[in-house]
Amino acid sequence: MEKILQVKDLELSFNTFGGEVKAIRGVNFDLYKGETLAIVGESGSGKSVTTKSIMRLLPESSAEFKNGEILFGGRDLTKLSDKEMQKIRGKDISMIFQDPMTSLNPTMPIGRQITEPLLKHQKISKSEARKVAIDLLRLVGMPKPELRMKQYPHQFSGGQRQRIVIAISLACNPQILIADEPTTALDVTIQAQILELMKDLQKKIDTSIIFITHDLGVVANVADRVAVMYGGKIVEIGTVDEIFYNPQHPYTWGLLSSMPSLDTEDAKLYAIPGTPPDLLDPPKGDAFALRSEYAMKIDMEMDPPFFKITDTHMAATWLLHPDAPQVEPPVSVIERMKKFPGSRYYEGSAN
Amino acid sequence: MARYIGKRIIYMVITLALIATFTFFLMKILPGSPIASADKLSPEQRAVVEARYGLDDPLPVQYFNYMFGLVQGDLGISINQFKGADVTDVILSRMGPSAQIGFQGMLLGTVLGILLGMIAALRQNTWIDYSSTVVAIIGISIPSFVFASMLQYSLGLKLGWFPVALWKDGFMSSVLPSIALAMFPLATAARFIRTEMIEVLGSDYITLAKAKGASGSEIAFKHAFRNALIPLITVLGPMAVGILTGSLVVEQIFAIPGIGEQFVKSIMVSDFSIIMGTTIFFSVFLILVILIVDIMYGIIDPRIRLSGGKS
Repeated sequence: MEKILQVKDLELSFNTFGGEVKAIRGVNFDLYKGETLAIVGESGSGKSVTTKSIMRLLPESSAEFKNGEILFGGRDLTKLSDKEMQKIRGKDISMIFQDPMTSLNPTMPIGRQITEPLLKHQKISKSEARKVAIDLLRLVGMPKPELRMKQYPHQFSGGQRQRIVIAISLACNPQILIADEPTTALDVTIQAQILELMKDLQKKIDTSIIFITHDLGVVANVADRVAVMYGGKIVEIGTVDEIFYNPQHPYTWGLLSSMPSLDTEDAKLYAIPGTPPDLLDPPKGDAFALRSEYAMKIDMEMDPPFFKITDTHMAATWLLHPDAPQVEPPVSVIERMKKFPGSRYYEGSAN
Repeated sequence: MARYIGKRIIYMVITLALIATFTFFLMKILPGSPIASADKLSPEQRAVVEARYGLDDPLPVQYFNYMFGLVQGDLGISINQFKGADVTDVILSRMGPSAQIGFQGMLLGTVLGILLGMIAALRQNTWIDYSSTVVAIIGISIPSFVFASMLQYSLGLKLGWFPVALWKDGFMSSVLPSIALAMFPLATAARFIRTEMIEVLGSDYITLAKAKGASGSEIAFKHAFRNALIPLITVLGPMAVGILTGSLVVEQIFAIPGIGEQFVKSIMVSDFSIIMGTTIFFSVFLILVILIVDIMYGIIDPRIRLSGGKS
């Protein structure tokens, strides 16, 4: 499959009054054409910063690339000038944000907000742009688009506004669409509609999607592959099935165990103990070690490298080292692994 | 919209009637008489003069006579300041210079202030930003008459670029008073626009605009500016008041034959009809400004666009 975006050894820091906050500490991933890659992790794990750094939307005054590259169309996005980035933003890579209530300009009719990237990136007239915008609104399921072009954001509901934001992001048929928790601020029924819409549209225009979320239910619904981030790093990456049914990293185990399921109604919901690491002064070794009951001495000393489980599945944990002792994952995770061919707990097809 | 404005005009009329009533009775409480050297006149002479201006009627009669005239647009005649002249004519003839320096000051102040505030916000925490803050603090804390004297001394007396005072050289005479008047709106506008621009520039829709590929200037002018203007509009009304009251003093300092200067004098000599007329004139002006501000809100911010039209 064709790689459309490659992030290599990306390191990024914020210079603050308190010192250097190492928000991204060596992130590697590839994005393939037409796939949906979900990035999951708790608040502060660096998932939003990673995608904002791809778009170069972080404040230039404080955010600084320390190392690595972001390769897109043969160019390294970390090296481009702001002028060059302006030609990529909204045209080749576009973005959907978390809160549709605040991401539209309240004093501009939505029609103008949709035509803006069209007029900016494509050589078309205003009336043509208007036609495209109406088509886009129809595409995202907005009734009576012609009438609604002149209306302002406050005249739309939250779900409708997110549809408008999606229309804007798709205006120039981008190769990559970054969705930064696009459904978090919406209620559950609207969430489902927006996810369906995004899946539909992806098939229609064949774009690659990076989907940031902390909702594993959403991940299972939309993603082809999943990257789990923790403390500014990807700790495990694999296909949806691999991450959900054969997880290897203790953090992924923690995440999956803390997800409510239909058969755990009487049990207390699991929570990962402790707090995320302070990235102003990241811990030595594995950042998750201090919160992990599976941590070994080496986790306190050395950062684990990536161990390959399959061609598509990798995890950064010393537990996968040949010399590491066999440990038992949490019960709920073992239950999951029993269903996955290739996992050591596989019990054959359930009959 | 038309209905709304109609309603507002009715409120305006009520407000004006109340203001006229209050001013009328307040003035009557004031000690002193509009008749110059009243003590030197014999009681008979005094009675004659008072009768001529209707000052001998009982107070309620005087009040209703005045209000009756006011409804017909008759502000009465000047008692002593401009002996016998029609108050409306006096105000209209005096309005020119005041309107000129007021308008020039307001325009200069808001335009420069908006520019300064925008530059400060776009170059946050640089020396440009800090100097604009200093300008804003100076402009707000130092009253306009201090600026007036400083301008007279430096640009007028020392450098001789502009006339120090009087209203003889047309536009050149209006420069210094306009600058003195502009300082307050300039400082206020700069402060408001800076704060608001910084907040707007940090909002999600600006990030989305950036994500669409908009350039820095497109973001500042197409997206941020209009949203940052809303709070400034709110203070524009009080600022116009500042200009008006400021101009009373500034006109005195520059010896400009404006409405402010004439207003101050009329109080000193208790020229009742001039005081009344000028107060009503100022009130009308202010109420109109507030109405215009309210209408501008709707133009700038669709969220507070007045309902009643087609939506």
